[in-house]
Amino acid sequence: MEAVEMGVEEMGNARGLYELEVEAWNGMDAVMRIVNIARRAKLRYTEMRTVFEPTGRLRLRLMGWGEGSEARWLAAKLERMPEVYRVEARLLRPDEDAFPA
Amino acid sequence: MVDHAARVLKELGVTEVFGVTGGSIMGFFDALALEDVEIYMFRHEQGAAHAADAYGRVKRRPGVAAATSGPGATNLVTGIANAYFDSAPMLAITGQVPTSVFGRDAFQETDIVGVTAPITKFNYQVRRPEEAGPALRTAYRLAYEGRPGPTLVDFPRDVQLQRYLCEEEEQAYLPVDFSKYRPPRPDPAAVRRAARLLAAALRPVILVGGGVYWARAWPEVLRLAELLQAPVVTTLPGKNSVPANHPLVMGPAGMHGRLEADAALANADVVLAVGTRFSDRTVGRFSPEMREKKVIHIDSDPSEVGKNVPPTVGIVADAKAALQALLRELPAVPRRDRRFLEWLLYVRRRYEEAMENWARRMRKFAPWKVLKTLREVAPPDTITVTGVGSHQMWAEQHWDVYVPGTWLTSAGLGTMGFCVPAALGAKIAARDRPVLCIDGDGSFQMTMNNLALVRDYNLPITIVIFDNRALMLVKHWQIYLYDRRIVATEYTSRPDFAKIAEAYDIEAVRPTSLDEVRKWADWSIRTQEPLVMIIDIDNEEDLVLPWVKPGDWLTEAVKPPGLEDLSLTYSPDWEPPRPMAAEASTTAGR
Ligand SMILES: Cc1ncc(C[n+]2csc(CCOP(=O)(O)OP(=O)(O)O)c2C)c(N)n1
Ligand SMILES: [Mg+2]
Repeated sequence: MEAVEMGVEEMGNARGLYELEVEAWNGMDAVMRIVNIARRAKLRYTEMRTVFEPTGRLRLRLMGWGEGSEARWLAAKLERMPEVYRVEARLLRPDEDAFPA
Repeated sequence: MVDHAARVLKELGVTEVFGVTGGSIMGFFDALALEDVEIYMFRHEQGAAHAADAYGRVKRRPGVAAATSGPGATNLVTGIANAYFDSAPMLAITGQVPTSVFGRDAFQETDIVGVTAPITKFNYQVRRPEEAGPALRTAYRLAYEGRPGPTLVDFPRDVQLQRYLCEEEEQAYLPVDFSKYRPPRPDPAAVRRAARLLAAALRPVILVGGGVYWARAWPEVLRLAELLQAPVVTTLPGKNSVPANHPLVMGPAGMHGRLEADAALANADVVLAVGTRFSDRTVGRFSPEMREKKVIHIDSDPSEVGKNVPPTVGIVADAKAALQALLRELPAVPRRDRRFLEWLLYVRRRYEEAMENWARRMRKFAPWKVLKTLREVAPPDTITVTGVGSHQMWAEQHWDVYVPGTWLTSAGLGTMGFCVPAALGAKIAARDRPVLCIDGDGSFQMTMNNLALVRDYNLPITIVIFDNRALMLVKHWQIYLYDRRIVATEYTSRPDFAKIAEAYDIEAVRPTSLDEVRKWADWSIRTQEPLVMIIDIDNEEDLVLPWVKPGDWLTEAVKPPGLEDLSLTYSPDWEPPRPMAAEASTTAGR
């Protein structure tokens, strides 16, 4: 699968399957706060996975279908969290017919 | 550990804490007292939180509210949410049950970190004593760094009671990257594009939000307005950001905005929005009209730019820096047709006249006349706080804010009960300035128990209750949108507010004329004696107009009586009516 990687600002409005990768600290509490925001994005989620590293950092991957504007809103909101070091968003598969959440 | 936590707060400059004690926080209160931090005994934790929020807005550094676990912590929630939606700096500190019983539904256990996750900028549960210092410093700093907001630190009781000798140099902060809250420098290319748009605009309008106050950017806003000869309109919190008596300031626009401000925003071809999230309350509806305009959006928070209205040019930067860059970039702007401004002043004049006529026909007090009378008496730097409801909307339209930073209202959450405790918090933050609380009878009843602090701590505030014995703003909607079915919005005459005031040892008056309003307000403000002034308002007549119905566009505002012929759509062919033309130059100011 060819992914299109973008900074939050450059993300277009294409509808499709998005992947967000978040790097953060503060364990389960951070996951809870991330999920709290993700719940409010209009994306239809297909997968979420978190790896807690021995360094105390965590890596959370989130995939969902929806509009680019929603994925961008979510990425921007997550990036503002004090716990979050890095957010990357990519459009995994553009699909004009993808049904939004 | 609590002794160390109290010392850290003291080092941060915290001199007062607002709250209610209890089993899980009493050790911390004890430590605060030993550090000579004054504890204000609010009568409900919601009040403590609103006070901390208001204190933060006035002082521009976080107010601190503390509460015990369980109900104490959950009582803070409304106040924390209020601070979140109005971007106010505050720090909440909660006690928690011991870590050993976590998840066992121990007495007064609530997962307050979970409860407040979506309404805090940051929250953190301290699990080891050595985290207390870094957690408090981090939460305190995050509350004001970048876009302000509430933060929370939760202290389990066993951790509080552990001995902690901070012998070695402890880590100052949790591992947070604060640098991301420093807004980037304005992108020169974006600034150039914005300048070009503004220079070419026919009817540019500047929309100012609360962010302009935090960036102290009002001088730049006004310079730009003067250069462009552009009217300035504000959001409801944006009233706090620019002086209302500047001739180009049209006042707040939106659902309950002023007519000339709605007219300005509706007819703009280019909107320069600064420090605002573009709430639906400000623009009525987003499409199609708002989306057809060229929008330049300046905000320090990148997640706000484009959230509600996709901008033609988005600039993520500190408002002051971005406006300065824009001022440097703007060439001598071609002088434009002043007709548009003249027309706006004509709309203002018609509006003011209509309100005067309407006031004459009112059976009881006209709320806006009371506000104008109070404004004459209150010194310019008076801090004004409101409740939530029709009285707040009247204040939005008719209370002129002269000094930025003196307008405190619950805008984002719209929390009834904000006024009394927020006024107390403001007074604690600025004891040398008068504080005026413009409240509704419904809002007042939600937090009036905190009046006990007025005498306990010598906090002489002036409270004016717009007493219509109704939840009027909702009744207003029932009248217009629910076929006049009045359900659960009218109150009985209980309680007697004069007796409530008396119970708290506060003078109460029921003026019967505007002269009496003036006299009593003047007495309270000049002598710094607390006062509860009860204003009798008729709940059939108290309809806040103009009003833009939900989903309508600004030009469709329901206008006050007598303005049926006035269109809010500007035509370049507009001619001032004959008798006005001669006086057009003297209409500025109101
Ligand atoms: C805590 C809370 N509950 C309910 C509401 C919904 N609400 C908005 S305005 C309003 C009426 C407020 O009444 P009052 O304070 O007397 O002001 P008035 O509208 O009568 O001037 C109500 C019930 C709210 N904003 N906040
Ligand atoms: Mg009322």
